[in-house]
Amino acid sequence: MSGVPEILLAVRAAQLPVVCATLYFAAGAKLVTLPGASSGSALYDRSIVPGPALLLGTRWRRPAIYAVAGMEIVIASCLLLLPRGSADAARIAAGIVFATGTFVLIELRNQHPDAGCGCFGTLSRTPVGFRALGRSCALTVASLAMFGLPAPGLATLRTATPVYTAVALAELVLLVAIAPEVSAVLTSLARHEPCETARVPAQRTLRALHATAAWRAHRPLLTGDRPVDMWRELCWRYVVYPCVLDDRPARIVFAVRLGDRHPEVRAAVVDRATGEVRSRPPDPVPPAPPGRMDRMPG
Amino acid sequence: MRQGVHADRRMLRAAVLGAPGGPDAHDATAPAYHVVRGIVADASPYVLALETAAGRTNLTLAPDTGVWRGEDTDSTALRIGDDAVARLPAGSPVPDRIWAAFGRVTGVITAIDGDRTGARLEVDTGPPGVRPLLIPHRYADRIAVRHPRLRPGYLIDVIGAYTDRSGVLHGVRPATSQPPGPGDPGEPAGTGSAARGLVRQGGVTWYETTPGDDAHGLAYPAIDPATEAGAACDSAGRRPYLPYLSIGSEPGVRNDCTGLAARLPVLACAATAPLFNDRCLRCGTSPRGRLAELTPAAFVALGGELDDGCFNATVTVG
Repeated sequence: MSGVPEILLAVRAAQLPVVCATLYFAAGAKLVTLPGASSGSALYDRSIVPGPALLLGTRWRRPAIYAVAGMEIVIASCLLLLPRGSADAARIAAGIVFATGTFVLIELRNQHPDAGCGCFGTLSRTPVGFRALGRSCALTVASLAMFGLPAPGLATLRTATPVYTAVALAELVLLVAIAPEVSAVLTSLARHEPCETARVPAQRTLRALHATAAWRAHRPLLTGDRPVDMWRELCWRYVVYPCVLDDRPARIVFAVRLGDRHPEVRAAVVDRATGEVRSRPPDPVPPAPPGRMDRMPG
Repeated sequence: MRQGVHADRRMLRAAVLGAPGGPDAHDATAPAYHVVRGIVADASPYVLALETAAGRTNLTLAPDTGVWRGEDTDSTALRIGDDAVARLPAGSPVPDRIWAAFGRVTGVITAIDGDRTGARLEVDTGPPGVRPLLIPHRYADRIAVRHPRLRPGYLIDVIGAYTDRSGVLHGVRPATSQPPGPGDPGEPAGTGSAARGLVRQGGVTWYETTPGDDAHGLAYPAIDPATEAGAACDSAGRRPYLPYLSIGSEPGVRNDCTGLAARLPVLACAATAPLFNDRCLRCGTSPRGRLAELTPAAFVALGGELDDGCFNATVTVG
């Protein structure tokens, strides 16, 4: 049976994996989720950069996010790798970073109540609230609790006791449970995205089209492999190819239903000069009663 | 060109899926307007000559014809070369209201400087780029009431007039209240389950098009990012708050204040609309979110007032 001092020591040491995992994950999420600059447009930047970077001028936002991510990686690595003599410096540094972060989040909340904390890049879009602030405070305490531990970074991991493992796991579970990012991701996963607002890359539509019987049936008529026009309305994407029918130039328009692995496809051949519909193959399935998604704008 | 794309896609769509149903263009119970847009070729107190796409049109002016040219005025303020929109009530040969030399700048402030004429701003209005805006000293207070932070990174939406020949818009009145921060405006209304579906309510605004362009159409905030204009319109990975459409689609727009409705083709991307999660207060309080930006001719034809900036609307995308 361990004494209270040993248990306390194990609890303090168990903060290391928690703090390091948080720092590495936060840095990784910032670097991965920050999309590349498209045009340098202020319009573009303002809609994608969450967090305290908003307190800076437009041109400093991206460098600031990269700098913070770099700092998080360096501090987490120092916590793990620095030898006994200098390990405390890294623990103090981590405490200062989290404490400063807490104050910055409070300032962000005052100035931009609708902005997310940006702690995990664009995953953190939920407006800064008590959960984000509480997490920041807790990590400040966790970092400072490691101050004065006899064993440096990796050594504590190697000598993990059951108490150490249990405390570290419990804290990680708690951090995940209170993370606003996790609730946001779960909510968006649970929400079924209607097909009219789902993002569907054009290439996916073309691949799906090329695997259909309607495509194979019309392929011999085509005079070009590349679509001459392609557009989308709600749940249908229209793809137009040039073709020849009975020696007259024409166009084939395919309507591909989005959101299905084996999409419903309809096709019609339209005379290029007159606009007359030259052939409309029978639909492979009887037409469904006009539902909400079948009504097209026009 | 755009009209060509529009007609072509409508024809191909009808060929493959059949012609769509839907409400008629106009609500039979409401009076409709006829709109003429052109460049002022000649103006007298009694006759206004506009150079339109179809040729010269002469309009008879009545003593009570209202004219807006940066402020409410009369026909003596009209200048040759002004871009003008005249609104004629159905069956009347006489316009009841004319807007001249009007303009609007909507976007994110990227720079601000001042000189003796006023505050000179540069505003990122989305593709194709940055536009200049002058806020003369005499209108600065009026604009500051609803746009208190004229600083880079903040949003601005100002209606004004090209009152000199410099080509720079002189802002004279705010079109909305400035959002409080330069940050992400948050998930716009329309993402909640109550606002799902193909019929949405919110505000509809207007956007500046080429002087004299009398096209009836709209700019839409959610153009398919996989094709054409959508790449520029894609608001950087945000979830769209409206269903995806393309250039040439024809959503129905109903002015909830006048009851006038029309199906209008999508002509462009409304890059700045998603940034304004505001309400229109033209008649009652609309739900949040800008559903579309209309061309000046279409906006006026549905009963909108260009100097007001918006009307409460119902947009039907399907």
